[in-house]
Amino acid sequence: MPRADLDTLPLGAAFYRQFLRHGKTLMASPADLLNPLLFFFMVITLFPLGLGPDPQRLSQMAPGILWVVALLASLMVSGKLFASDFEDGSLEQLCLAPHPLAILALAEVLAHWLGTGLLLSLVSPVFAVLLGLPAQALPVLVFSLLLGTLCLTLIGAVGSALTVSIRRGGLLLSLIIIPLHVPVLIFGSTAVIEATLGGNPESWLALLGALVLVSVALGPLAIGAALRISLDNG
Amino acid sequence: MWSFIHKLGSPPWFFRFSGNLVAWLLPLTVALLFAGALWGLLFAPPDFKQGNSYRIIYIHVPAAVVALAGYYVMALAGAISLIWRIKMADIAMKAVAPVGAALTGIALVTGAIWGKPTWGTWWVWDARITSMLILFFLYLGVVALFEAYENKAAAAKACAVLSLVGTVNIPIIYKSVDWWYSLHQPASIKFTGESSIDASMLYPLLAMITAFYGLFALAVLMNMRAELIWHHRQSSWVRQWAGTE
Amino acid sequence: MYFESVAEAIYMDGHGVYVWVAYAIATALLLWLVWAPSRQLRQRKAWIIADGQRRASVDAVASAHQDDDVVSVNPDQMETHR
Repeated sequence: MPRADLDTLPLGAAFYRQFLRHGKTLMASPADLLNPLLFFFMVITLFPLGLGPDPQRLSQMAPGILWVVALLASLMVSGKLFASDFEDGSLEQLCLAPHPLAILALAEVLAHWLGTGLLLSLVSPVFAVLLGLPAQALPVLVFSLLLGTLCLTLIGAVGSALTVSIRRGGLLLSLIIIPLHVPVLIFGSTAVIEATLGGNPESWLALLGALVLVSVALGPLAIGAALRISLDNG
Repeated sequence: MWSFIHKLGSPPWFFRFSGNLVAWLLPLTVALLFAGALWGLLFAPPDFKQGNSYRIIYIHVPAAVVALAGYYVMALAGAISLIWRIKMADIAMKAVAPVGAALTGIALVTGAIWGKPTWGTWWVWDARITSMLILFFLYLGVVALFEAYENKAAAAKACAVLSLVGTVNIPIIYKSVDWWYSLHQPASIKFTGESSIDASMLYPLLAMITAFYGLFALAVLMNMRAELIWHHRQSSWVRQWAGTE
Repeated sequence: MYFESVAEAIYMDGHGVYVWVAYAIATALLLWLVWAPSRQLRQRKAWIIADGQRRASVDAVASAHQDDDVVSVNPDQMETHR
């Protein structure tokens, strides 16, 4: 990929180009797209096996289970976010480009989210039905996951950027990222619980929305700084 | 004022200054710690509901308070290191992380021990304990990230970014855990209810909090001194201090 | 003092075990927090002193050989002898 290409583009076009590039690498390996979904499916299967098949208990626990598994699936893939960019040297080119690194990184994160978080949220009703989540909670589940996975992906991207230069950084990534995921998990699962009880999930969804805004505003700055530091290390 | 801040960045000056500081802070802190502990253990009256088990409060609460404040100190040092690229801030940040983790550990362990006679169980997913546990993970993350980096200058910068991200998150985490707990809390039991504390119990608590702050400062300064000496082991002021030049 | 006797202070109406164990663990960890860096400082100081002595002895050997007008073992001085 010629570097001059990126330099001469205006910011918007560079953003779009970066977005497409990451999207194409995702599309090039469908296995990577399917892996989180498969992971989701298989872990959901484990819960009835571990907890017993009692439908009432399962449906009571469904919001928490679905949200925790979605969090883990997102965590699992976020480690790969900048890995290929780091290995093939295109990260260095990004740093040298005249555009703010934070914006270009945001393009990659958004493309990554479309391929993982969005997909996961749209497929989640299938798994919710497996666990017997009440039907009235399904829209809230999808919506909370849409907002929540965007947050999870942005926070996970910070962790990924910090650990990309470290060999076998997977466990470290979970250690530094899981505590930061706590509010997302609480707001998301509580929204779904409220929906199953016929309560009012809107305030929790609004909180999730606020988290999205904060992480979109601040996350890219941290990602950009972290990527530059990782280049220094490796 | 500015010249003082400027001097803080100079390793030989800071080393001498911190040496003096440690020399008088150490006996003061030990004395206050000892006096506060005796006061709390033997002289303060027992709580009318919890009896004598509440005396654990005199180590539990100070450890928790200082551990939380320590995270902000670490993040502040991280911000200084990122913005002004002052080496001393890197060293300070690295020195705070293990101390903060240890204090969080003390708060968790003493909380669990306190829980047994009070609630009848070692662990309750109470809002404050859960927040403390998450703070513990945040500290461990910083320590582990620092150890994982090979280039230690980059490691300090990475930890600075992580601790700043954590700082933005901590109020959100605390608030969310609080809401989570009040939502799931069984109506019959209420642990978090604020009760007014009698002066005879409050004064030893304040003494212990002060003592824990002193101990935190001591441990951080001593960590920094050990790190400074190693970092500058080739320079003449260190050799002079060691008496080989 | 609130307690009537030492035994009572240790027993604390049955809560003594919890209270004293909590204080013991906290004390041990706090001691470690101060002891660990002071030990590290001592070890590093010892290393620096040993390193200084090693250098001094290398310098002494070098200057002794310089008097004999023999090629020095000190690589820094090789140039001047040639």
